[in-house]
Amino acid sequence: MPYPNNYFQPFYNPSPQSQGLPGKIVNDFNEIMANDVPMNGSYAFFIKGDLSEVQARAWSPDGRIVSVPFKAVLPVKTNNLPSETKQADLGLSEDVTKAFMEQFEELKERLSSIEENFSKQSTTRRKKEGDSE
Amino acid sequence: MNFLNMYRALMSNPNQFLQGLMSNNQIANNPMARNAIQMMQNKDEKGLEQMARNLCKERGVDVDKLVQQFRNQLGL
Repeated sequence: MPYPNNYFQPFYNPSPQSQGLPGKIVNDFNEIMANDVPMNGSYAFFIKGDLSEVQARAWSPDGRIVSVPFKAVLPVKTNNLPSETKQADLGLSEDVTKAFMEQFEELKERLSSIEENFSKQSTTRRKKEGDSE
Repeated sequence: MNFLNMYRALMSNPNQFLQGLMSNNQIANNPMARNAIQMMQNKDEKGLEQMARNLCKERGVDVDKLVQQFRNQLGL
Protein backbone atom coordinates (compact mmCIF):
# COMPACT_ATOMS: atom_id res chain seq x y z
CA MET A 1 0.00 0.00 0.00
CA PRO A 2 1.68 3.16 -1.10
CA TYR A 3 2.04 5.82 1.54
CA PRO A 4 1.81 9.46 0.63
CA ASN A 5 5.16 11.16 0.31
CA ASN A 6 4.64 13.40 3.26
CA TYR A 7 3.41 10.73 5.68
CA PHE A 8 6.76 10.30 7.39
CA GLN A 9 7.58 13.96 7.31
CA PRO A 10 10.27 14.67 9.85
CA PHE A 11 9.40 16.83 12.79
CA TYR A 12 9.53 20.43 11.59
CA ASN A 13 12.11 22.26 13.57
CA PRO A 14 11.88 25.91 12.75
CA SER A 15 15.23 27.65 12.63
CA PRO A 16 15.68 30.02 15.53
CA GLN A 17 14.83 33.56 14.56
CA SER A 18 17.96 35.60 14.49
CA GLN A 19 17.46 38.63 16.64
CA GLY A 20 19.20 41.72 15.47
CA LEU A 21 21.13 43.95 17.80
CA PRO A 22 18.83 46.60 19.30
CA GLY A 23 19.65 50.10 18.15
CA LYS A 24 19.89 52.03 14.91
CA ILE A 25 22.07 54.26 12.76
CA VAL A 26 21.67 57.95 13.50
CA ASN A 27 23.04 61.16 12.05
CA ASP A 28 23.28 62.72 15.50
CA PHE A 29 23.01 61.17 18.95
CA ASN A 30 20.45 63.80 19.94
CA GLU A 31 17.99 62.01 17.68
CA ILE A 32 17.85 59.10 20.11
CA MET A 33 14.60 58.95 22.08
CA ALA A 34 14.03 57.26 25.42
CA ASN A 35 11.76 54.72 23.73
CA ASP A 36 14.63 53.61 21.49
CA VAL A 37 16.38 52.15 24.53
CA PRO A 38 14.88 48.82 25.70
CA MET A 39 13.53 48.97 29.23
CA ASN A 40 14.68 45.47 30.16
CA GLY A 41 18.15 46.75 31.05
CA SER A 42 19.90 45.48 27.92
CA TYR A 43 22.12 47.75 25.85
CA ALA A 44 21.09 49.27 22.54
CA PHE A 45 23.80 50.30 20.09
CA PHE A 46 23.55 53.52 18.12
CA ILE A 47 25.97 54.05 15.29
CA LYS A 48 26.74 57.47 13.92
CA GLY A 49 26.24 57.70 10.17
CA ASP A 50 29.85 58.69 9.49
CA LEU A 51 31.07 55.72 11.58
CA SER A 52 33.09 58.02 13.82
CA GLU A 53 31.38 56.92 17.01
CA VAL A 54 29.15 54.25 18.48
CA GLN A 55 27.16 54.69 21.69
CA ALA A 56 25.78 51.88 23.79
CA ARG A 57 22.82 53.01 25.89
CA ALA A 58 20.81 51.26 28.57
CA TRP A 59 18.44 52.15 31.37
CA SER A 60 20.11 52.09 34.78
CA PRO A 61 18.23 50.81 37.87
CA ASP A 62 17.67 54.37 39.11
CA GLY A 63 15.74 55.40 36.00
CA ARG A 64 18.46 57.16 34.05
CA ILE A 65 19.91 56.26 30.69
CA VAL A 66 23.64 55.51 30.77
CA SER A 67 25.67 55.73 27.61
CA VAL A 68 29.05 54.19 26.82
CA PRO A 69 30.78 55.85 23.85
CA PHE A 70 33.14 54.04 21.50
CA LYS A 71 35.18 56.27 19.22
CA ALA A 72 36.82 55.12 16.00
CA VAL A 73 40.61 54.85 15.97
CA LEU A 74 41.71 56.19 12.62
CA PRO A 75 44.45 54.26 10.77
CA VAL A 76 47.94 55.83 10.70
CA LYS A 77 49.02 57.19 7.31
CA THR A 78 52.28 55.50 6.31
CA ASN A 79 53.53 58.25 3.90
CA ASN A 80 54.31 60.74 6.64
CA LEU A 81 56.41 58.44 8.78
CA PRO A 82 59.87 59.76 9.80
CA SER A 83 62.95 57.79 8.78
CA GLU A 84 63.46 56.38 12.27
CA THR A 85 59.95 54.94 12.20
CA LYS A 86 60.60 53.49 8.75
CA GLN A 87 63.68 51.80 10.09
CA ALA A 88 61.61 50.46 12.93
CA ASP A 89 59.10 49.15 10.40
CA LEU A 90 61.89 47.25 8.68
CA GLY A 91 62.56 45.50 11.97
CA LEU A 92 65.99 47.04 12.51
CA SER A 93 66.87 48.54 15.82
CA GLU A 94 68.97 51.67 16.02
CA ASP A 95 72.08 49.79 17.23
CA VAL A 96 71.92 47.27 14.42
CA THR A 97 71.53 50.02 11.87
CA LYS A 98 74.54 51.82 13.29
CA ALA A 99 76.66 48.66 13.17
CA PHE A 100 75.72 48.06 9.54
CA MET A 101 76.56 51.65 8.60
CA GLU A 102 79.97 51.36 10.24
CA GLN A 103 80.70 48.20 8.28
CA PHE A 104 79.65 49.91 5.06
CA GLU A 105 81.93 52.86 5.78
CA GLU A 106 84.87 50.54 6.39
CA LEU A 107 84.22 48.67 3.15
CA LYS A 108 83.98 51.95 1.31
CA GLU A 109 87.37 53.06 2.64
CA ARG A 110 89.01 49.75 1.66
CA LEU A 111 87.57 49.96 -1.83
CA SER A 112 88.86 53.51 -2.17
CA SER A 113 92.36 52.47 -1.08
CA ILE A 114 92.33 49.49 -3.48
CA GLU A 115 91.24 51.78 -6.27
CA GLU A 116 94.10 54.20 -5.45
CA ASN A 117 96.68 51.42 -5.40
CA PHE A 118 95.42 50.07 -8.70
CA SER A 119 95.58 53.44 -10.34
CA LYS A 120 99.12 54.00 -8.97
CA GLN A 121 100.24 50.61 -10.28
CA SER A 122 98.82 51.26 -13.72
CA THR A 123 100.54 54.67 -13.81
CA THR A 124 103.91 53.11 -12.83
CA ARG A 125 103.51 50.40 -15.53
CA ARG A 126 102.85 53.00 -18.22
CA LYS A 127 105.97 54.93 -17.17
CA LYS A 128 108.15 51.80 -17.38
CA GLU A 129 106.75 50.94 -20.80
CA GLY A 130 107.39 54.46 -21.94
CA ASP A 131 111.03 54.38 -20.67
CA SER A 132 111.78 51.04 -22.34
CA GLU A 133 110.69 52.41 -25.72
CA MET B 1 -4.10 37.08 37.70
CA ASN B 2 -6.52 39.82 36.73
CA PHE B 3 -6.44 43.36 37.99
CA LEU B 4 -9.02 42.83 40.73
CA ASN B 5 -7.14 39.92 42.21
CA MET B 6 -3.95 41.92 42.09
CA TYR B 7 -5.62 44.79 43.90
CA ARG B 8 -6.98 42.46 46.57
CA ALA B 9 -3.58 40.84 47.04
CA LEU B 10 -1.92 44.24 47.29
CA MET B 11 -4.38 45.52 49.88
CA SER B 12 -4.41 42.39 52.02
CA ASN B 13 -0.67 41.80 52.26
CA PRO B 14 1.52 44.30 50.42
CA ASN B 15 4.83 42.64 51.31
CA GLN B 16 3.68 39.27 50.12
CA PHE B 17 2.40 40.87 46.94
CA LEU B 18 5.76 42.49 46.30
CA GLN B 19 7.56 39.20 46.97
CA GLY B 20 5.30 37.59 44.44
CA LEU B 21 6.18 40.23 41.91
CA MET B 22 9.89 39.53 42.41
CA SER B 23 9.34 35.90 41.56
CA ASN B 24 8.08 36.96 38.14
CA ASN B 25 10.87 36.34 35.61
CA GLN B 26 10.22 39.46 33.61
CA ILE B 27 10.48 41.61 36.69
CA ALA B 28 13.39 39.68 38.17
CA ASN B 29 15.43 40.17 34.98
CA ASN B 30 14.66 43.87 34.78
CA PRO B 31 17.11 45.89 36.91
CA MET B 32 14.88 48.95 37.09
CA ALA B 33 11.76 47.03 38.10
CA ARG B 34 13.76 45.05 40.66
CA ASN B 35 15.15 48.24 42.14
CA ALA B 36 11.69 49.83 42.31
CA ILE B 37 10.23 46.84 44.14
CA GLN B 38 13.14 46.72 46.55
CA MET B 39 12.63 50.41 47.34
CA MET B 40 8.93 49.76 47.91
CA GLN B 41 9.77 46.92 50.27
CA ASN B 42 12.24 49.14 52.12
CA LYS B 43 9.72 52.02 52.07
CA ASP B 44 12.32 54.23 50.42
CA GLU B 45 10.04 57.08 49.34
CA LYS B 46 12.86 59.41 48.39
CA GLY B 47 14.47 56.79 46.20
CA LEU B 48 11.18 56.10 44.44
CA GLU B 49 10.58 59.79 43.91
CA GLN B 50 14.08 60.24 42.49
CA MET B 51 13.57 57.31 40.14
CA ALA B 52 10.28 58.79 38.96
CA ARG B 53 11.96 62.16 38.41
CA ASN B 54 14.81 60.53 36.47
CA LEU B 55 12.37 58.64 34.26
CA CYS B 56 10.41 61.80 33.54
CA LYS B 57 13.58 63.76 32.81
CA GLU B 58 14.77 61.15 30.32
CA ARG B 59 11.44 61.42 28.53
CA GLY B 60 11.54 65.20 28.49
CA VAL B 61 8.84 65.70 31.13
CA ASP B 62 9.28 68.37 33.79
CA VAL B 63 7.71 66.87 36.91
CA ASP B 64 7.47 70.11 38.84
CA LYS B 65 5.68 71.86 35.97
CA LEU B 66 3.33 68.94 35.65
CA VAL B 67 2.47 69.00 39.34
CA GLN B 68 1.95 72.74 39.21
CA GLN B 69 -0.38 72.42 36.21
CA PHE B 70 -2.30 69.71 38.03
CA ARG B 71 -2.67 71.90 41.10
CA ASN B 72 -3.77 74.84 39.00
CA GLN B 73 -6.45 72.76 37.38
CA LEU B 74 -7.70 71.68 40.76
CA GLY B 75 -7.55 75.21 42.09
CA LEU B 76 -4.97 74.38 44.74
